[in-house]
Amino acid sequence: MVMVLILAAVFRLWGTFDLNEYIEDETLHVAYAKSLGTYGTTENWGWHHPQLSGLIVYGTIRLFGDNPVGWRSSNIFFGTATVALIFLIGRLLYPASAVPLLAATLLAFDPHNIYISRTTFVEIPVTFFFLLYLYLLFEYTENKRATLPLAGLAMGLTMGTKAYFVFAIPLAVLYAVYRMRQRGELTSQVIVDFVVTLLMLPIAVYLLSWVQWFGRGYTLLEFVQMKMDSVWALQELNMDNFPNRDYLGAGGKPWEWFIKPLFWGHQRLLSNEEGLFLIQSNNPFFRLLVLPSLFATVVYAWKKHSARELLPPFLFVSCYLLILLARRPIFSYSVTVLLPFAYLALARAVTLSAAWINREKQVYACFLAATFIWCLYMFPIVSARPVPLAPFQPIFSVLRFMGNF
Amino acid sequence: MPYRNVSITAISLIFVCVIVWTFVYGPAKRTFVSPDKIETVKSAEELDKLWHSAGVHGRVAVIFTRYLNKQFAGASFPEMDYIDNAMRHGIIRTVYYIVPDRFGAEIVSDYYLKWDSTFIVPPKLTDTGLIILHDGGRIYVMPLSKYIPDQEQEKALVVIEDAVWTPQERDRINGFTRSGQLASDLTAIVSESK
Repeated sequence: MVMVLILAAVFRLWGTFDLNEYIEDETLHVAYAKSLGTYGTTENWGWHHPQLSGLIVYGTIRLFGDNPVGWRSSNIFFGTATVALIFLIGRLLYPASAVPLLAATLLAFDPHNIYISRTTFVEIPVTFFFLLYLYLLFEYTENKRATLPLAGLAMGLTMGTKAYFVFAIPLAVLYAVYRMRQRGELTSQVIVDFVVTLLMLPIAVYLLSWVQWFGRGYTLLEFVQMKMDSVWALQELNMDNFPNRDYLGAGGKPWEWFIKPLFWGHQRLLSNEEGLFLIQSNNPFFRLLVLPSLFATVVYAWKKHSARELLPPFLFVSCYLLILLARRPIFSYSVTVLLPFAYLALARAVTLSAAWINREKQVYACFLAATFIWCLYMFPIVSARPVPLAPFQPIFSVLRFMGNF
Repeated sequence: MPYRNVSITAISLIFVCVIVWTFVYGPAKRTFVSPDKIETVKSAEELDKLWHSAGVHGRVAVIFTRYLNKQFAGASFPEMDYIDNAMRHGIIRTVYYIVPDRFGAEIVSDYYLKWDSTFIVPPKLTDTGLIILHDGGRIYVMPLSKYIPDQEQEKALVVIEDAVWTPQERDRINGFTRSGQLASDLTAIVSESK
């Protein structure tokens, strides 16, 4: 696992600061962060989003300067740490199995996750904070460690970053309540602990994450009004509101993310034979296995009456439903928040299949090797390294969209 | 157990403090002009400079004008988005554009039809006019007859574009300020002649 973590960091760090210009939405994110930090005001119609990610990027800009290190270093850290967290969560949910290692490897070597971790997208920190919340909550429910207040803190940080986990957060709380009840430990004292640490503390942290906004003269009543405005505004969005709708379409509609192979991106040709590429994809070799894996793991968990085994598929569904049912266009980078649960389910399906055919070592070795080799092949074209065109023609021939940067 | 009690008590206290903080921190960050001032400006640029030099922050602006945002009637200065600038710099958090009734319907429908795509979504239509949702806060647009000053509200930055109002309308505006319904610490009168 240590080797996977080191390689995850290398793939996220290597050459990330070489591109001294904004990649994709970085032009929005960095302007947003600087305006938020300097004046307390958001930029580029970002007022309706929680503000913590902007404050984090502003913090690293203050620390490292207004340059690629300042813009991207936080995502490199959060993206790498997320790999460690999925491993730790896997160990708690599927003890004494290969699931943690397989799931962490899938995330560590997912080319699209590597691409997103090398930019400023908010999906990276929000996934990190949610997994941190899950890990600390499970340490409490499974190992009886005193991590509940820290879980509440991480929940508040999740809420302060983006609203992807509005269904998943209470689902995890329900699971924790179920586990305590199952062990006969759900006393009134525990209920008080839950209310205080998993409701009051996250709300306090969430409100504090709007410090810059409140600093512009607002009060809590105006905050409630702004939140209601944001719900109204997000429902008004449609494809025509986006100037980059070709690019929005290239990543596929949410229902396509785990069904069709999708490749798209940007290029800068250096000659007829060489260029720099920022290619995104839905990592089709692996993600197309996710839905069948979810089905298999749910059937297995149901037969075993295991709530613990059911949890990752349920967390996946709770986040995916929010995206599928949202009455607004969704960019493909939102898939980032689904990946930990998708890959936990896929890893579980692999271990079940391997046990079924009684070839565990061979299956795991093949799976890990395939994940790593695919990542090695894709890495140069998701990270803007200068590459010859010829070896990547199979990818370029199936691109749905290719812009220039 | 003692650890548990301490942490529950501490978190409960933090929660209460944060709720109180959400009511007092914002108002404490608002800055006003003292003593109250009335200034005459000739252009949006002068108004922008006036607000910046006065050091005001986190405020409500009430603007009696014919034209929204970028220009005042008859002014021949370069266009300047003084509200956008003030909102982005944290000077203003809420704006009321009060327009003459005779232009009200036209302004509201024009603005609705030609809304700037930088706002991403169209303005929100209301019974009194419309609301533009800006990164810097809410911008209300309404005709004078629909405007009722909120007496509970803090002192506002008032801007009156002198030339566009009839004597009756001007009396109504003056009535708001004289009666204290619309309190202001910094009133800017926009006039061609200083």
